[in-house]
Amino acid sequence: MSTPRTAFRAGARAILPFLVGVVVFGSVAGSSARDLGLSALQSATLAGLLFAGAAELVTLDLLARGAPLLVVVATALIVNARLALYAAALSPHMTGLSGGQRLGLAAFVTDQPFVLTWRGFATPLPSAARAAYFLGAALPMWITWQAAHLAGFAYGARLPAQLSLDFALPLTFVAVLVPRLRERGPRTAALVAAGLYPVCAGLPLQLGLCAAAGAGVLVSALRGGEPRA
Amino acid sequence: MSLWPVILGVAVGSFLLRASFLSLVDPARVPARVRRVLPFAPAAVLGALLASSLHGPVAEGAAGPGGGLARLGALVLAGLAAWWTESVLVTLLAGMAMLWTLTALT
Repeated sequence: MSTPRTAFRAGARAILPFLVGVVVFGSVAGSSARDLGLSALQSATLAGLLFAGAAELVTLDLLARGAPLLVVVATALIVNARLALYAAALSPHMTGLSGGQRLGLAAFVTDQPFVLTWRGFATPLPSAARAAYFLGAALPMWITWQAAHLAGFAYGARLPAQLSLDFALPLTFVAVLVPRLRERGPRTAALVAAGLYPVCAGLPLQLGLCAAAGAGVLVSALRGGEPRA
Repeated sequence: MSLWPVILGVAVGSFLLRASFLSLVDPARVPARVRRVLPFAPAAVLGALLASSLHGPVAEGAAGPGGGLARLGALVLAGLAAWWTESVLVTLLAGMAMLWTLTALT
């Protein structure tokens, strides 16, 4: 997959299994937005511009509890702080793009396309193909999120709770993470972060996730090991 | 309702985070030490996210039945499936099947 077109297709193929979880998560977020009394335009703005499920659910949850504006925004941005890490990790691979193209690409930075691209970069690709691969994964993801969010807003999450379909989300994390555990650096980072999370979960302002992940990165950095850029 | 300031705040703020090192800040200005550890960040975030999914669902209110033990069992089987097959779909199917089985049994 060396040409942009084939790379785009490869990215789109790779994202397909993830879309199951996206549909479930998106419809939950959409129906939560409606439950809170958001207008259709407000719901669509969250889906299209925020485009981040965990941060959106945290936002809605805090709004429902009457948290002040600054706390809601700050907490959502802490949950999304990892997006800056993704941007920094993607950046060296997105060479040969104009400033506008990079800005456009940024709007689609989110977990699944990033981790796929991260995995895909294990095999060297020309830079034009890398951006195309990322976009091939990110665009279907964005469209699916909008559709699911809208459906959730319009119809509510009618999926039976008995099926526990929300569990599809952590399962996609497993699918992406576990194969990477063969390498020492990611393995240390993941194990430390997962082990520390229960300790950090009590931290205020939803800081637990960031703290545990930060500790994982720190420990794996101190232990050394060969990072894969 | 003062929802718009919050909605625009989280949306614009998140976009700035995404754009940060992709277009606003030259990644060459990121210290080499930070750049070296960045590849570990996704693994760390995923590990913490997984732990949080056992601790309490990320999607609050989306929690179906199936207690922590059923979820743990399903994650373990899914982990084995991911290790052997490296397939997202197989991992999903194995995990969901295990969760449903354990939930039905308990």
